[in-house]
Amino acid sequence: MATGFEFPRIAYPGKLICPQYTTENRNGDDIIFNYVCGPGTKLLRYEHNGAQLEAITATLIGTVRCDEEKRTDEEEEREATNPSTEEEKSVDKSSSDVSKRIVKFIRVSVVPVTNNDCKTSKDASNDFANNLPKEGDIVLTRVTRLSLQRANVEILAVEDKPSPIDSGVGSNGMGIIAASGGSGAATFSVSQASSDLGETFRGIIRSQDVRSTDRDRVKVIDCFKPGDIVRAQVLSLGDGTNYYLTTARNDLGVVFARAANGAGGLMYATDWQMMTSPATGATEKRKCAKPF
Amino acid sequence: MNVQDRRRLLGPAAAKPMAFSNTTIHTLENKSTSALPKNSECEQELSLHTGFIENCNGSALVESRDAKHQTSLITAVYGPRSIRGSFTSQGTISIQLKNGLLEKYNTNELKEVSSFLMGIFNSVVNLSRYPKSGIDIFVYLTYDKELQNKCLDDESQSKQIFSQISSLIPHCITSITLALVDAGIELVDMAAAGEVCGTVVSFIKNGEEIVGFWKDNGDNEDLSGCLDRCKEQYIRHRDLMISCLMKQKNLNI
Amino acid sequence: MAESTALETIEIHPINFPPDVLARISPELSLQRHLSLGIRPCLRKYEEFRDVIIENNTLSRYVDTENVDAKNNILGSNVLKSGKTIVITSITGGIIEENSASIKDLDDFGEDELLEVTKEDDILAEYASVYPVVEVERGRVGACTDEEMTISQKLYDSILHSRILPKKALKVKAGIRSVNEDGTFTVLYPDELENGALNGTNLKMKRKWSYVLYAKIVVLSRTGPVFDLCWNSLMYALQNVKLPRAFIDERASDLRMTIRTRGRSATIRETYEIICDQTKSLPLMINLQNIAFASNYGVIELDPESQLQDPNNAEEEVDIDMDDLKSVLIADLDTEAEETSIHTTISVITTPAGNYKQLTLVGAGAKITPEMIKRSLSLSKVRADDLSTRLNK
Repeated sequence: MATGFEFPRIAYPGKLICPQYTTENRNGDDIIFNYVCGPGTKLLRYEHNGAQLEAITATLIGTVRCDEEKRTDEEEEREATNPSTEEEKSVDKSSSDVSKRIVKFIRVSVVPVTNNDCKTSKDASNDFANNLPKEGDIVLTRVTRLSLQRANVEILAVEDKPSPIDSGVGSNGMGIIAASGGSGAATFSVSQASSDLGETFRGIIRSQDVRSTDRDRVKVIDCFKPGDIVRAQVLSLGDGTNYYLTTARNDLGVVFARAANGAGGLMYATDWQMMTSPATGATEKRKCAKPF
Repeated sequence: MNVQDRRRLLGPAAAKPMAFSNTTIHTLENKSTSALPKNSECEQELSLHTGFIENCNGSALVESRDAKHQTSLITAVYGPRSIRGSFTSQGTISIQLKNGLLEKYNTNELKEVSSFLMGIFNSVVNLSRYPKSGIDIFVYLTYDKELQNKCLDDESQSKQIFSQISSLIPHCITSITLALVDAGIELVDMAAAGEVCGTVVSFIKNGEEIVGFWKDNGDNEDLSGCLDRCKEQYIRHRDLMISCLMKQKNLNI
Repeated sequence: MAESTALETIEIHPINFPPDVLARISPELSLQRHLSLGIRPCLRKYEEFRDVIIENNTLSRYVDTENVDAKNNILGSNVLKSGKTIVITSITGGIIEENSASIKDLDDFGEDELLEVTKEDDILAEYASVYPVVEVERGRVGACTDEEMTISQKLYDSILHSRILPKKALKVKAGIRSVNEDGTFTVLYPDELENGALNGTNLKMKRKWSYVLYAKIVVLSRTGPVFDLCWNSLMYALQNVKLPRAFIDERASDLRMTIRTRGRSATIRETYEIICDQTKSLPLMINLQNIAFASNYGVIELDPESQLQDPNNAEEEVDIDMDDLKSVLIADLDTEAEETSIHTTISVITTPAGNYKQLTLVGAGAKITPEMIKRSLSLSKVRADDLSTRLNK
């Protein structure tokens, strides 16, 4: 994309990428490039020769990407007519009498490079550290506790994004493993460890968020069992401890479950509220995600 | 070793740690000082590595060696992981320093240094990106040894240690910065620091902003001269870090 | 990718997950899928071990034989890297005064049966162990975890029962420091003197000391069970331990004084420090033929449901016998998937010569067949033989 500005190809934290605005006169039209901070960048104020400048600075190590942001017409108009306090913009305004003025928004982001796979997803987000669950994200969770009103879950991964490496058995010692070999963390008490640090991110699926129909008759015990892997969507960041999640959609719900409370083999969904174990033929009730 | 902890096998309570004599050392001291050429302070070899610890998000190893000491520290960054308690819109940072093989520094000293480091990194990490989460940084002082053998009485020994922990701080900052970058935690800038006679100054933004200042009771009164020398070291450390990261992440400028 | 071109075709997208996400949410399934291809999640074969790289004695005070590091109190060390995991073992020492008389010295212990019963204990009483403190770095502070406690205790017990460290080797052969007329100090060691003249007279000491060995084992980058890595690292470290010579002052070699308090008299032996020599040291004499190395194995049943079928002959293998569970032996467990899904384990400690020191079988789920035990024993021997050669390089 021709932006009239030479971007550095590679950035590291603290590397200045570009100013907030650049202008270019192309075919008699003034084009203003308004650079917007994307992931991995931050707008910072610098002092240079006594003048205050604002520049987009990298906060991650990786390659620089810029994409034009398509904004709706009204939004663009509002932005354009907005009386700006920015010095640079007012300079442009005086010249805008002469010719047509086009404002282009360009999102600048820094994409971390991963050593293992080159195919980056289209969201250009490849590390969990900067992809904490946020509203609207689809997350994969494991059920840890059930009550009449809600199911407590722990968030294992944000879908389509890498899972955090430091929350597995190796680092937090959770999970049940062979006797005498491993951490035996079943009796490991968190309160004895650090008091201010938690474990994995947790969430709550309230009974009214389990499905979208017949919501007041939901029996949580007929929908989830401890240990089930549930695909859910983040409703809100919730309180300090829990995210609020929902499974009220066809493609959300239990994706992996074992029969007989984890003792049996894997079960497969036969319809939206029934799962069957192929080995025994036994069925159990779950709120299943549509398998296709 | 005096405190009995029943969860660990600490051996018989009556056992005393080995005490080494000071008397036989005189001959030794002479030998070693003559063997080592007297280099100036600035000739310091640094070697940096990132990403070699598997069960954390980011890690760094900093090894430095000059005429006087040899230091090696490992930093591991865990998180962002969830915190307990009330909602926080910003991330929180915790830094733990741990004595490595040589139990050299006492916990108070280490706590003091880690709170100093926390001050620095609170202003360097882009905390607003990490709501409801904590970033835990563990610095493990693998070893830190003097290359020159000296026989010191207790008083001068304690003084010596004082100046030593401040000489470690720049390396701590370097390794934490590297580990954070390796973990993909957003940083406003690469922080680094320099040390002159027990005074540590940490900079960002090409030396325009100071993010941390540490002074031991050294006799260093020339503050501006000290700043300049720290800045030189800062720039050297920062450039090294960047080139190391570029190499280890397979990026070419 | 799913653009519906015509209305009558129905696009079906099964939910599928990237491999690393699947490994996190369902490690068993991920493991089974890998095993059905004949490999493990760490891309090793079933019975393939990780390579081990060791660095011996790089951290101890006796690294440089000419120039002893005065402030370092590490007597022997080892850094072991196995796969991604790094184990750093450092051995430090202490000195304890032996004041309890052993049972043999007491005459009233006459009964033969009791002697017979305690005979086994007596053999063990000839041996000592090291006191290990294992720290597995996992990004948290506070109390030690179960794993650290279990491994420490197991290391302690295994060293004791392997009879590696005879108590004899830990006895302090203390010297005496005397002040010469010109104010300088000389240290005399009984076993260093040529003529036995001094030995008989001056150096008669009633008190005895012995060394105590502590091992600090730090595990960085834990990716799987670590007991055998800790054990192997400790074995390497023990082989390069050097004990410093220790001495006491001449004046204090046999000092007693009688004091009288409240009408009762008591003999008090003055407490004085036993000091270690800066430079002189002796190698620790361990039973080299008992040096053993550990290896571990897991047994898992291949789940016929989660086999990945070869697309070429998928039609032939429609009918899988669900009851015929085939189980396989997996060597050197690593990675989270294996750790969480393999609950049946075999752990062996053996010398290169095939002198088995320890065998632990944990059956949970999969059955351990005699063939598997045989196989794991013979693999352990080969492995121990391989590991023992590393030291000489």
